[in-house]
Amino acid sequence: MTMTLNVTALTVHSGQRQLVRELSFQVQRGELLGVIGPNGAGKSTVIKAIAQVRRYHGQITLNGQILANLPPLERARHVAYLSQEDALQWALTVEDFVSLGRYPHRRWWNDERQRATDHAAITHALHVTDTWALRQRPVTTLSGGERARVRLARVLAVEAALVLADEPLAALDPRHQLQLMALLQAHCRAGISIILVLHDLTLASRFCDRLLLLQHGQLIASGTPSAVLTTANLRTVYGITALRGEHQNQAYLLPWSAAETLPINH
Amino acid sequence: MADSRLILSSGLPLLLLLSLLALTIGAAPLTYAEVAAGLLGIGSEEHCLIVQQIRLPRVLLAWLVGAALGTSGAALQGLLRNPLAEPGLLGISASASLGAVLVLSCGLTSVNLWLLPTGAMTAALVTTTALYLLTRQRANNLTLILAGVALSALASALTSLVLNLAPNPTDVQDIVLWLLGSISDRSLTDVWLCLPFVILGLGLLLRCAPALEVLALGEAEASSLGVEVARVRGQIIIGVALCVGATVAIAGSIGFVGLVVPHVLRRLVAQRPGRLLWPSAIGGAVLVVAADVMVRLLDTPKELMLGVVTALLGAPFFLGLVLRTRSELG
Repeated sequence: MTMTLNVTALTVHSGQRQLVRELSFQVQRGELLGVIGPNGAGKSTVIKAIAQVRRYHGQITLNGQILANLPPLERARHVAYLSQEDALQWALTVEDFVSLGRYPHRRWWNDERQRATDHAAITHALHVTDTWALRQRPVTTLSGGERARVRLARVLAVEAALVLADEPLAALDPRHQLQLMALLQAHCRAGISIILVLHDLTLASRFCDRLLLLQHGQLIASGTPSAVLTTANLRTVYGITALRGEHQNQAYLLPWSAAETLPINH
Repeated sequence: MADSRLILSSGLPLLLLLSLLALTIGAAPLTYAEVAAGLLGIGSEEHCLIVQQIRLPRVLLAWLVGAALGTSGAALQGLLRNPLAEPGLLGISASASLGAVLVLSCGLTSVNLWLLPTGAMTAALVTTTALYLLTRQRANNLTLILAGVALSALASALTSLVLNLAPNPTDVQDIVLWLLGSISDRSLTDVWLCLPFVILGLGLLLRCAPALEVLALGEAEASSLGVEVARVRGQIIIGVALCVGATVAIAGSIGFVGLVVPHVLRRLVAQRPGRLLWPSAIGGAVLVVAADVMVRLLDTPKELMLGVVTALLGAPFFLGLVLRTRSELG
């Protein structure tokens, strides 16, 4: 099955302020797209607009269908969203928590086959995120990193063709950051498309297929990591210089120092 | 599923047993056989009268009040994602009282009896909506409680104003007593007056169970999972207003049921907000019937008002809960 997400002239306002201006891009099946940019660049806003949890102008289509016009449950089966804020209040067990991801698939009648599918999806999500052993624990007793992985498991349990993840790496230690990036990459190889907001340029350059670089709500550059993370872009957008190298045939990039001059427009 | 089934299957028999017990107690103690005969209309005329006209309405009202308040509390806690949400604490009951007092003091009940629950439900609806709007940005405990305190204060101030301006002092005394919350001396007419609204309200609230479950994730993720948040919110606000408004109109305000019941039962349903609704309905009914039995068994010079007893028991419970969530409040 093909999957194409088309974002055309996306503009998002907050009162008088424009958070995102005339942004257009495409995501293909199996692509891992990283959305990067300094704080306040509008990364989360873009993700929220695609997830339909925020008002916007412009058009977002999935396989030619306008996302905003799809019935909510059908849209939810295609697009899964992991927000930046962890808003959980109740001490649900990990398994119950992850099973919430199956809500868009629920039926009004009690369907044995559906229940088996749900169970398989939940089990799979718990295994790939390395949270199977935690499944009976209340979510509120987990460490930050465990909780981040459980939240990701909830999103993967939806089994959507497009996954939107807003800074899922934030609370993770290096080992779990690497594991999670490898996991997302593997999911993309299996045909899922992922849009990922992240701050870590080293991980972004290594794992993402393509990057969108935003500043002040505008698209500065898009393309392969090497095309986007140029010395000039790093200096003007982030105000940093970076070290570059190669290891095991992979190019890497390491933010090294804050540039002496502040980036333009700041 | 097993957990809520267990609560229902043990809660319902408990409720029936307690209710049977409640039917036997009173100025003229009856045996279970006499109660059964009275209920079926085959006992002596006196027994039939006592059971059907005096004691049965009281028990039925206890069911309705308990189920309405317990479910409202559970649904509000789920929607606002806050264990301190409760119709009494949030000023919804006080507003319903205000609505009812307005109708009573203007003598509108003589025009049409249905105006009493209607007035109470309208006032409850206004407050629930206001509360939601005040707390929707950041649903933290402090804002919620403060908004509740403010709305509660406003409603009681307005109630006092109405009483202050009331022309007839004996009416005032009746109204004040009624405000304390009681289900004694009610007739089947009173039951009929609130029954349709409570059923409708409970229906609306119980329908939201699956969505409430997903709302545990926060509104953004819930909406991304296909929950129509605005619709669920509207259903819960209307459901709570119907339940609380209708029962307050008949029984006055009986506090803390909606706080205590979901709190006690939450652990038994693995904290799942959607699974908490039915058990809270049964649990609320059990609690109110039990409290009412207690009121009648206590040998006090004057019979205690049910609302006074639930408040006396509930307030320390609430304090304990506040102490435990103190870190969040700070």
